[in-house]
Amino acid sequence: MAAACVGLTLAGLTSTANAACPAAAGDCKELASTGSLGARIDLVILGDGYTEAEKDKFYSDAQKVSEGLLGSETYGAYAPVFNSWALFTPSAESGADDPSAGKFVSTAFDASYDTSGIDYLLAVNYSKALSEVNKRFPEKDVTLCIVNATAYGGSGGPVAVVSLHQSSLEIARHELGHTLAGLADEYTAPYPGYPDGDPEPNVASAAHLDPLKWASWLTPGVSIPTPISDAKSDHDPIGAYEGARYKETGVFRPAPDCLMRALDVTFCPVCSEAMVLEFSRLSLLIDAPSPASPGAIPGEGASVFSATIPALADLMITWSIDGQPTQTGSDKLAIDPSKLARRRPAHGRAEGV
Amino acid sequence: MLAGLAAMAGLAAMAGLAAGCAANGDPPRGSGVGSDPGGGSDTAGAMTAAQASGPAVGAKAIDARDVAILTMEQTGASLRVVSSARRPRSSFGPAASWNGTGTATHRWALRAADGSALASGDIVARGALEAPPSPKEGAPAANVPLATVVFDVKVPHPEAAEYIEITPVNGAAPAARWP
Repeated sequence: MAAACVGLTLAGLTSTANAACPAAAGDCKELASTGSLGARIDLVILGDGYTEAEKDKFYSDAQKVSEGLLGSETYGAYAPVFNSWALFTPSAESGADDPSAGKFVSTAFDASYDTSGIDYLLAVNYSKALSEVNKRFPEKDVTLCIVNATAYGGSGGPVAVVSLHQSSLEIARHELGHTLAGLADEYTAPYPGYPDGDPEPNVASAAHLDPLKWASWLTPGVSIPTPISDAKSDHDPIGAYEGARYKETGVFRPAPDCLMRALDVTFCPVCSEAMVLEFSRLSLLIDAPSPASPGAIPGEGASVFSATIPALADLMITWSIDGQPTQTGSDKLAIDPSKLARRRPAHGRAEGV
Repeated sequence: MLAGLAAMAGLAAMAGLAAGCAANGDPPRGSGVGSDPGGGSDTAGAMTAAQASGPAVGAKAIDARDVAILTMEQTGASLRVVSSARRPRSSFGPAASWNGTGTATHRWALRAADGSALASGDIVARGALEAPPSPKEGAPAANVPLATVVFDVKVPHPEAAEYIEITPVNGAAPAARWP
């Protein structure tokens, strides 16, 4: 065989090392770094109502929120695909506005309870918040704002906002279900003017019960529609329960209960699947490939290719040549091009690894 | 709980094998290098067929360009850019063209000087404040429309006379143009 060379590329793989706060980020702290910015889902935690003197408190609070979020069910199993960053912005005063209590403070992002007269609806000035993140950390994928106040409160919107109340983090878990996976709300409180339809993966209208988009998750023998009286637990059986997407009737959900229906419940399997698919879509699951870029290997003799993957349960490597699985389970593959069967004329031959 | 959801990382690569081929050089076509693997059918931001027509002669391939990150603000019939940044595409990886998941509320287009679309995609912006019910805290669900809708969008950075156009799907505001 003539001296041959192989131009080889591991497709789209750029992750090489864990990331540090970008220089432009200013006052920033790495809370969890599992890979490069381009390879992971980057969660930026912003703070409001923290004075300069409370910077350490902010970083400590952000660490707790990050661990509370990424340590919870569904997120926790996939924590290795997330980076988490805390971005400090000083406020002139501590806390948040609480108009019904007559409390007004000057903060960086104007955090306030009582939004639209709902006492626990805690919101910020989104133009200020997103502009700040865009200026300092535009590489972010998801932004969460924690507010230095302890009363229960939070909201989903352009940015998920939570207070330091223990239950508030549940709001962030729910809201990221919307942001990351496009999940529908499954509760039935009316939302006047909300458009009809069932485009989200976790709801189905009466016209779309057969086949159900979550058919593969149905508990064998379950009745469709599924009477709520059949429920044995939050997620059992998986069926089609009436009531979701702000309507009592005509729209169905997969499980008796789910984090998309109420807080203090975990995601049902259907919602978890949607989350996991999005985690996979937005992150690279292959790290440190070698060779890292197109290169050449000798035409004869074994060359070793390698890659690592995040520490995720059930994740495995399969190597393939020309689309045919060749080896599974090892992070290394040795190839001797001279021993590969020729499939095309020498000058047009392509081999995939 | 997620048994059966085992993700599999398939390592795919293309190898061009030919006597006398260059040791280095551009990635082979279809290798994925420099391309944008992000975006599914229900994922806003995926470039559309407009991209297939390619950029103007001399312009850098659209899917290899830096990413412009724009913070947009829509109030009533006004839609404007309030902040912009530029970063290498590698800073985002598969998320470089991700602009939210769900039903599109806005669309972006990269246009040449003559107005022709070189690439385009969807954007999912949240136009309401929401909180789910918390039985534990005795808090009912809340959904409140926002008077000012704010969102980020990632787009290919325009070159020369090109520009970005952001348009609400519902026509509530005129298109915004940047730069």
